[in-house]
Amino acid sequence: MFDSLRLELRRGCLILAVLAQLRDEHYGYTLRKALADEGLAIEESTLYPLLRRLETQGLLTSEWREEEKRNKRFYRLSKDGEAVLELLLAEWNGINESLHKILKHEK
Amino acid sequence: MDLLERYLQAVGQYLPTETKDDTIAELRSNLMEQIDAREEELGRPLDFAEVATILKEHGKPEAVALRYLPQRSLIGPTVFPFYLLTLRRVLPIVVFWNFVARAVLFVVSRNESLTDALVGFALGIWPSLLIAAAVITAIFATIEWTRQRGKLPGNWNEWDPAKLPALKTHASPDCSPRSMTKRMIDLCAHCLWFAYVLWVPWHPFWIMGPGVFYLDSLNVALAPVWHAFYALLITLLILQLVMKMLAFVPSAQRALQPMKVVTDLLGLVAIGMLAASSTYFVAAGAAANVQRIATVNQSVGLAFRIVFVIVLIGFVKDLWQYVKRAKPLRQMAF
Repeated sequence: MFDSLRLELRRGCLILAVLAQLRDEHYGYTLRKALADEGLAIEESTLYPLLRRLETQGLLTSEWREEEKRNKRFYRLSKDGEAVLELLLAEWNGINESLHKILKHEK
Repeated sequence: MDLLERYLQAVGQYLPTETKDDTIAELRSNLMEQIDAREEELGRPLDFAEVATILKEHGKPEAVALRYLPQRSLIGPTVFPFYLLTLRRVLPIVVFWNFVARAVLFVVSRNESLTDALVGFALGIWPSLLIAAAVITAIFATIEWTRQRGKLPGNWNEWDPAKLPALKTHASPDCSPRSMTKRMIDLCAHCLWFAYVLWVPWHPFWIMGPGVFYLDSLNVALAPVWHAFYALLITLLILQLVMKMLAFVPSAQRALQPMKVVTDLLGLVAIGMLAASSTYFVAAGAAANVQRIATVNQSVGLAFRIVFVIVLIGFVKDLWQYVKRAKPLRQMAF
């Protein structure tokens, strides 16, 4: 049961983390690495389809470009994505503050 | 890299044609990057097993491809509760009408035995249930499809609290304990009824009235089925007597409802036994009119079949109410 609750908790956070990380341009592999370096490991099979979904929703833009003699698909936050990220961050901060207060009461 | 291409080919089999090349190209680029990074780390090219490990970690081809497909559901989370509610309301109605139809058939048919009728009902109900469930599913899938395309106006979560049913002012009769006087009257009435049942076999006039003279004229005796019925009836009355007495014990209240189900079932079995029989009276001597006895047996048999169906409907209804009460509401909620 813990696993499914953990998965549910992470799902929304991952979207926020991916959007925030894509304020700078990344391709799949480096994005995954960057997130892992920040302590948020995410499976390839979760990340890559998520990027596609966010792009379909208009929150990301992507372009194929050659880098180090290899074609790579680079993702970046779109204009709409920036606006949504701002809203999501405000929501996240609100939740975070409330949780801190609730957890403090419990102590 | 042969293994990587084989892997990508396997993933590609499950991807839609329009996005397949693009998705595969991106997967290839990411996986090759991962392989390069590992090779750089080790300072040598990866062998077959090491590439296989990376691919295995990446996921089974079917599962990887499925994640790239749009999320699909026949009935989405908004409509699903209404779908479930409709199933829960409609399927019992289907069972009920099938049961009624089968019961009418049983009463009308003279050749069908009770066992055949029950087996027929138990087997025949499934196609009706499946058809009803399929039709409801199709209707709700259409609603979902229409809703998803914005062609269905209205908010599914729109409701008016003012339209909630009024608060029940009286507790349901099953929940409120009956008064001491009522329980006492009930016990006395049952004792009188029990005494009557014990006494009546030796005084048939008190059950059949003038009909006993008609039976005498037919020169008949009771068939063995009545002896079995009488034994079952006495068992039932003893059980009911115990229940009437337990009604005075506060700690035993919870046991009364399941006991009532058991006694109701016993009553049903007793009537069922009579309905299943075809012989109620047998010739008591050579002077008996066999033709008339057969006619009487047939009429009595039809009457018992009708009584059995009525009792069975009542039993099913009571059993349903009991199951609903026994199952907490929160367990039935979705």
